[in-house]
Amino acid sequence: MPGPALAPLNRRDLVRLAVAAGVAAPVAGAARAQPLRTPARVVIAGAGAAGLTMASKLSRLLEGARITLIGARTAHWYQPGFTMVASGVWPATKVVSETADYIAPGVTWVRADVAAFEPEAKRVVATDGSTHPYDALVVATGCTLEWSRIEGMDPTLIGREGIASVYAGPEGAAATWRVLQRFMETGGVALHGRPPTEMKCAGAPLKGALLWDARLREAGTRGRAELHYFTPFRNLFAVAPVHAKVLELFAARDIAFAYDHTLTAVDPAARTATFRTPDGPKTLRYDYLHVVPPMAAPQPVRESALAWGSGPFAADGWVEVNRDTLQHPRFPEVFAVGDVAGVPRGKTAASVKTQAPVAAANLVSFLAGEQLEAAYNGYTSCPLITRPGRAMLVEFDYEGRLTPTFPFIDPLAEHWVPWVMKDRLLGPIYRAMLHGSI
Amino acid sequence: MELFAPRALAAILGEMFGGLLWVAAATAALALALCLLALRRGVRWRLALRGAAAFGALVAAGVLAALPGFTNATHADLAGALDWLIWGVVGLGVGLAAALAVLPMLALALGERADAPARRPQRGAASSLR
Repeated sequence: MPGPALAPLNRRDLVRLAVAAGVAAPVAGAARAQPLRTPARVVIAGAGAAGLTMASKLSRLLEGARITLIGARTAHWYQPGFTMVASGVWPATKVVSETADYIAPGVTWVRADVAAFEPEAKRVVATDGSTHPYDALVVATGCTLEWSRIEGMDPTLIGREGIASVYAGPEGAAATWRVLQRFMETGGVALHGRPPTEMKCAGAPLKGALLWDARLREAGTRGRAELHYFTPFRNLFAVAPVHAKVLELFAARDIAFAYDHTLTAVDPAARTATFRTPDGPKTLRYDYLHVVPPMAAPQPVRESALAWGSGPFAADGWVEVNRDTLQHPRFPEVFAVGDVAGVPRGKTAASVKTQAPVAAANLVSFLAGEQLEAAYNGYTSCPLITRPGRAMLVEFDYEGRLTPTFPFIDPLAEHWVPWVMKDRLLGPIYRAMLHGSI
Repeated sequence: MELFAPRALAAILGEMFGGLLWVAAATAALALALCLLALRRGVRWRLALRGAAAFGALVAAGVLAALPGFTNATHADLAGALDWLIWGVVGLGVGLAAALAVLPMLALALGERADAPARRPQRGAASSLR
């Protein structure tokens, strides 16, 4: 493994320094007793959940390092709460806070986005024109919502013409609730689904269908509504036991579904949605349409050498990383965390919580010239809300094995306790994660 | 697991309750101090315990009634032993905490036992009685 180019010290000097400080050779995978002393320049691209968490973690693990966080957004969105807003449980204000509240002391925040990655030159160019050379880079830019890949779709339509989407930020989630409230009065045909790309929180569209079914039942208008769910794949959820459970729930709730359907076009004026199917395009009329856009890595990532060149993550430009260590195989000083990382699954806040300690530990080991010991197992969690007041705490790994944190909670049973976690507990855990406390 | 480490739990509680944690700690410290004072004075514990138990039971009943609503849910959402167990533990726990918090105040308010040992007179007070 090639070593990093550190200025002004080289790797050997750093290791000596680390030994002198008594921090070398930590127990494999364990947290260091003391921070690593290093003058390294660490750049973190992206100031969302993954970037902020990495900045907090690295500021605790590194002493003397120059940590720069690049991200333009001053408002921080608690995205796991968007379905709660869209189902009328929370106000939109509950999912918005200030990015500045989570910036760790000593971290320099550049309020701009990344314009270009130049991994060969080991530097990042920001949209404000500044350039940021690095000894180690964390790519945590999140993903982009590719609305334009659906003909006729524009995020400004959300909240109008029966179009909804929890993915369009807090306002989009609030608009979704308004559209749903109207639909609860009028009834009609509701269409849900997911895109053919990798996506953040693949459970969210399923939650949506189930939550909105529950809301219609509460309103006493379920009999006037038809609910449909469309997926481009041959399953409703990639984890087999969860797929089976969702089939059961859909049957019990009278939610129709179809495989091999990809939303390709929307006509808001005619209120029709067109799907690509094996039998050719199929156009359906809707009264309520929940759009989940295709998702991809941001353009500067896609256009850089950091993206996968081939394989299932290449088309949308996700960052090429070793799925265990989260280290880039061609640029070993580069790590990726969060939505932008080209790994199976792993696009939820819970994934960030598990990925960040791994990437941070491995980045520190890299700077110290040590073997990378920490490994990410693909852990992803989805509190699959089935109705307001009940949820299933679904957790799984790369292999699709269920990995419950709480062995006494059946991950495939609807309970109030997982709902309480979603409603009350996961927010504080998330904030503790951003602060680097857990 | 990392999430259950004391430090992690403390961080999560801190995020959840913020400054209220300090209020709770101050209340607990005050209750403890009042308890020690009540012990020194030889108060009517039995009567105080009855009162505190009644207060705690009232609080527990209120919490058990309101708890699902506090989580944007209803009692109809509780399904299975786990839900009812957590619901019961939280309600009884809060009731017990309320009883313990009110116990020393109640004990001091109800006054000393008839057979309580006489307190040593203060010097200044003794001289003024002459």
